[in-house]
Amino acid sequence: MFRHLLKLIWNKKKHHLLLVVEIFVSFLVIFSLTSMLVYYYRNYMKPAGIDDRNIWQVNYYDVTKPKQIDSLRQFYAMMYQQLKNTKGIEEVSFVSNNTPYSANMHRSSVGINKRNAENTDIYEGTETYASLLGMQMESGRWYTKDDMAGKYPPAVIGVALKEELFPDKNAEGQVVKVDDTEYKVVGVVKEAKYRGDFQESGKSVFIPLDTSSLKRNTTILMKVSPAVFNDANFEGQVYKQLVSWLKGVNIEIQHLDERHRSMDRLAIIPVIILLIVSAFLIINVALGTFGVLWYNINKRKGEIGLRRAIGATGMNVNQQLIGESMVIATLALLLGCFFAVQFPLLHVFDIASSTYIIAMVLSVLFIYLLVLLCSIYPGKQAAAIFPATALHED
Amino acid sequence: MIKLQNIEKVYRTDTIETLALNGINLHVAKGEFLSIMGPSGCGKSTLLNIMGLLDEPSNGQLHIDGHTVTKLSDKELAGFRNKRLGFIFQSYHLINDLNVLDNVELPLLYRKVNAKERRRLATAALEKVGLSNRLRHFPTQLSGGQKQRVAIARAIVGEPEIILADEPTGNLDSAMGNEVMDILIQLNQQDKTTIVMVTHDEQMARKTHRLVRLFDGAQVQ
Ligand SMILES: Nc1ncnc2c1ncn2[C@@H]1O[C@H](COP(=O)(O)OP(=O)(O)O)[C@@H](O)[C@H]1O
Ligand SMILES: [Mg+2]
Repeated sequence: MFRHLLKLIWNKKKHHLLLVVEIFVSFLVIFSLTSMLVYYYRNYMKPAGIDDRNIWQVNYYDVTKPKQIDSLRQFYAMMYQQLKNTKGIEEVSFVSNNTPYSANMHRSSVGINKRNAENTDIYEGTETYASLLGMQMESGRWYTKDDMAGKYPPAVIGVALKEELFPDKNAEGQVVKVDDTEYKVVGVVKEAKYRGDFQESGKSVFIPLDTSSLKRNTTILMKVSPAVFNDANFEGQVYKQLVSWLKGVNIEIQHLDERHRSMDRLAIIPVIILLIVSAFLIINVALGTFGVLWYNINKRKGEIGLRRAIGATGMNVNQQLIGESMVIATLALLLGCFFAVQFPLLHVFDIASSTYIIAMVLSVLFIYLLVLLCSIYPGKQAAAIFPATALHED
Repeated sequence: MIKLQNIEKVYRTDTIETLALNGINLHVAKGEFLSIMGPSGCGKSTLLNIMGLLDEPSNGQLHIDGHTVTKLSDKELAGFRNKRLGFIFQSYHLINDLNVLDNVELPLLYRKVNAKERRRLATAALEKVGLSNRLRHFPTQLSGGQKQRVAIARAIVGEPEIILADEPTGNLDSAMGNEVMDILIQLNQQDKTTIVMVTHDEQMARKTHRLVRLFDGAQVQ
């Protein structure tokens, strides 16, 4: 019977081409959507790795202006002490501008000897960085001032980078090259989702921020007490204090949790777009399937009547029509899977293969279910046609 | 073989009621070749459809080969049609998307017959109607007479005891009509198949054992 269905459809392939193409395109869009959803879901289920509560992010621009600063190191040390001593401010860290939930990126390859991890995020921060952001150590420890005295400056690497560079040995004590400078690893930090809840944390390395370098000191993170976090008066005072230090420089204070939320909102936008496109295509496929079967019932009444006459039960007719749409769906899905499977095979994006496989399975099931649902009613109608009526009307 | 008792058929639509058959009593003997004639709309097809279990009578009893076949389930009816009945229609009712061989195999698809056996039986049936050289042709590539011969092959492939033919020569010129008629006569004589044929053609009817005339849903002869 299955061969019979294949033959019927094959001999009528031109007639079914449009529906095959419709299902194929829908599958690809639904596959993109489910890939994204599966990817997001998997990331969402991982711990954030960052405690974004009660953190202010101070951005200041054009740092070359304060010419009166003779010793930058001293200046920053003073700023740190003064801020730290302010009641309400619990911790302060000077960091590079690729802060959590920011669009700024600093990526490079990080390696040992010939082994290089491409696209590794490089984060810079003073020694309070991890504790301020509530980041947890996997092993070893965060760097301190004392580490600066050694032969190599210290670095902390993320778990993903550790897995890639040192899959089966301790990372601590190893030397890695970051942007042509060699660093000694002192600890491995748990993954922190820098790009929001839905994105992968990626490979990361943390190195001390050189406060004597003008270029990269554009950001200060401050952990404040919950009581003053939303206190505009207090924020105003801190702002004035900062202005008095960094004369003539643009200063902006942002709340890290807000940046977190807006980054998550941004991540949702492509999902919404794909959802809309998918919904449109799903309706198309539904109408297409329904339409083809409806056409079949009306244009093929003679055939249906004949089949009944030569021994088909109503159920046989029903199953045949549903079977035909399933075969059409299968043809489209085979074609679709051929394209979909290229994503994991060719590593088009840096996403785990299993994410694509899960998405593929879900999309295939979804399309089958959709086609099945759209076939049930027309199939039932066809089964109910009286054989004499069907033969009469042809 | 086929026994009709007081068969009535009423078609009801929203506005009109048509009495298509009015108290038909008919007995078709085993091995008989019966023809039915009558003016258009007198109920010939309706009668044939009822005999072929394609339609239910509104009243009356129908027995085929000793079985009371009114009130069978859909599945039982389908099985009965599949094994015991063969149909031939004026408009052939071939499936244009299937080639000749696949069309003839069709009844066997609804039985437990494997693909090889199906092929063998269908080829044999096509040989009987003289079309063994057209197995891979599609119906659209055949003449009317050839199409009707394919339809006959399809009707006999399952070796039914009864063939019901509704104006099998109605769409054919006399030469092709005679060919088809010869095949039916041969089936009746050699295989002892019981045949009931509706026709408009006196000449064709004269070649059968018995002629029944209908007028306005009633038997007049
Ligand atoms: N499905 C139907 N619904 C309503 N009326 C029908 C139907 N089939 C046949 N009839 C009517 O029943 C009568 C007999 O039809 P039919 O048996 O097809 O006649 P014949 O085959 O002798 O030309 C006609 O008046 C026809 O209009
Ligand atoms: Mg008729």
